[in-house]
Amino acid sequence: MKLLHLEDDDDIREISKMALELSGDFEVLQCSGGAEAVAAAPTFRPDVLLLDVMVPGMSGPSVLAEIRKIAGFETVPAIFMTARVQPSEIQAFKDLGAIDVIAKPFDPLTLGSQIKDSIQKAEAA
Amino acid sequence: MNFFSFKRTVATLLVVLAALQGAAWLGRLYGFDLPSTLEPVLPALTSLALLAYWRESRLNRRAKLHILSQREKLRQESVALNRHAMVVMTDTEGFIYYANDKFLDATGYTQEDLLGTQADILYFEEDKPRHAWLSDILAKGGTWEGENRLRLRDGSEMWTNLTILPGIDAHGHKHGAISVGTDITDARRMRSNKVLFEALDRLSDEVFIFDLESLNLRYCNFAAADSHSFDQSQSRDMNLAQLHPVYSSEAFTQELARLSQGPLTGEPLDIEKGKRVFEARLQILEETADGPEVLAVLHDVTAKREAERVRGEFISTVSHELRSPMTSIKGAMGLLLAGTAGPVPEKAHGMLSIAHRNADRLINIINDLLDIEKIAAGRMTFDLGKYDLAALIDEAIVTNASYSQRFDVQIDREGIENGVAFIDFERSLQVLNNLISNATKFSHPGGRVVIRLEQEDNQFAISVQDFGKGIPASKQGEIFDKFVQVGGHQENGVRGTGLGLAIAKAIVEQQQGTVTFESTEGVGTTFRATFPEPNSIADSSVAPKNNPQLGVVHDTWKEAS
Repeated sequence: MKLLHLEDDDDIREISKMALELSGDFEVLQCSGGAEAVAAAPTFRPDVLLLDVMVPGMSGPSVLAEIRKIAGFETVPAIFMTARVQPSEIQAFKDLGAIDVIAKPFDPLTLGSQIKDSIQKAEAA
Repeated sequence: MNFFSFKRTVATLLVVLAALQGAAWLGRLYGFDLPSTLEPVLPALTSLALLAYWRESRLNRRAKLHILSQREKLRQESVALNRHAMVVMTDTEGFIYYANDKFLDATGYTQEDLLGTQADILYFEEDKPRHAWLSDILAKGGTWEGENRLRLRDGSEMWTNLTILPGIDAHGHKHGAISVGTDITDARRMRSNKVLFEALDRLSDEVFIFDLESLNLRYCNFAAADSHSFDQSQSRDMNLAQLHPVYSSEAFTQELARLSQGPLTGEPLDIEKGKRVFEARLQILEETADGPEVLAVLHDVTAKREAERVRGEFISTVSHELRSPMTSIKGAMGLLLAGTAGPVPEKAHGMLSIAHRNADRLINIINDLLDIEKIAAGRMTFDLGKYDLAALIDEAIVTNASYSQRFDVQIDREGIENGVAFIDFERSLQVLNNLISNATKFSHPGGRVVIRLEQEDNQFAISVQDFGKGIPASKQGEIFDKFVQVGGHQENGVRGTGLGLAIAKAIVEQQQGTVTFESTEGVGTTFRATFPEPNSIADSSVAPKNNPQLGVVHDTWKEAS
């Protein structure tokens, strides 16, 4: 499964990469900026987006909106990763088209299975 | 010479004259003569008597005219008095035997209501002792003047300026009392309004009183006039809609419409005038002859709102800025402990475990601090729905499994199997996690914690019982206070923030429940949280355990936006 990961924090990006490699189910492309992620999407052709919300320049929600405009990516599943996890905030992120929200700090040992669970639930719904 | 002495003189003269004339007549009849000296006096006396008689007749006529005139004057005075004042007369026993039309019109009573009735009917119960005191004054022949309150037939009050004086009967004896009064209710209101308006003028809040229909101002205080740059004395010529467009806005108009139909006092309405924000409290005052009046008090909350915004921003910043590095710290340690970077020596593993556990603790502290801030600011949100408390308990047991394992404590379930309550699932889970982790922490190794679900009246109760050391009696009164650590400095190597129970209590109470506890030192502690039944919810579907959000009726409220 191809996963496009947007995260501006180098350390979190590194931890996430190791966590996703741990599960062995993901081919991961990581981007530190929004524009870079939007530009990479058509060539990398991700099956799922894992997007940090607060990213300088172009935020996670903006990146999602831009990628969804690209032909073939209108319904690509997206998961936001954020420290803003108030119930109202989670709902707001889902209203933007995300299938789930993963709270920071996340558990690196279960990150991969969390993402797969979210995709399965979204497909079943 | 007064009238009565003159009358006696005339009468005497007439008698003397009649006697002389009689003597003269008898003399002529029987042939004797009156003394010659009387002969010339007799005509003079006759003339004098006639003159006196003429004068007396004239005076008599004047007196009659005077009496008639006085009677007319009295009648006119009586008419005027009856038009101007309310008159009631009572007998010596205090029974009413007269009440004028003015009194009847003003008070709503009828002659049938009052005549033969004790005057007490006209007074409020609390005023009766004062009227007994007045009766004593009258009995001693005194009079009384002052402001007095009457109880009208419909139970409302009327203030009168009253004079009470002893009555006099036809023989000039004291007989009961006469009360003469005028209605001063409006004057009193004006007087109290004046005091009220003077007080309102000292307020920094803007205060308006205006007509509900036309929005014509009846009053505004100094702050309101100053804010809209007009002279306060001209307020009666102003219309609220002239002062600012916000008073013609749809929200304001809707609030007035709602007020005119619903409760007399509404919730505060946010009003923005330029860069300033006001909380407007509108209230319908009593109906006047010109229709209902509205009292509007505008409290400037610009600074308060700004403080709330900054506080919210701070919470958000803390939330984000602290959690991001914690993600890396905890993530890196978690991966190391899992052996992703190769085998970790036993000693290093132990030290990493301590660091990892304390990273968790730090995250919990951040979460608790943020929660207590949200509660204090009224910004904690609740997503309410119908949930099975059995699912809540199962979830809490799973969450606490590793924790209870670490303390060698067994968690048992007792009580009824299921119970559907109207709760925020995540927040309630937070409560239960807190109670279970506390119970685990304070249990002896090898001990047990019992979670019991019970039903009572219109609610369910989840109790969490431990058999540990119990809470010292001296600490029990402050157990729900913030930053109170029951276990003192450190308990079993674990120390919380001292905020958990305060947060749990606030969350449960926001969901219309309660948190109570019983504890005996050396025996153990039982915490009990109640959750309301969803008796007002039509949808009977219950959220399944693994996806508590499915099929749920939601009702989200925010304490404050």
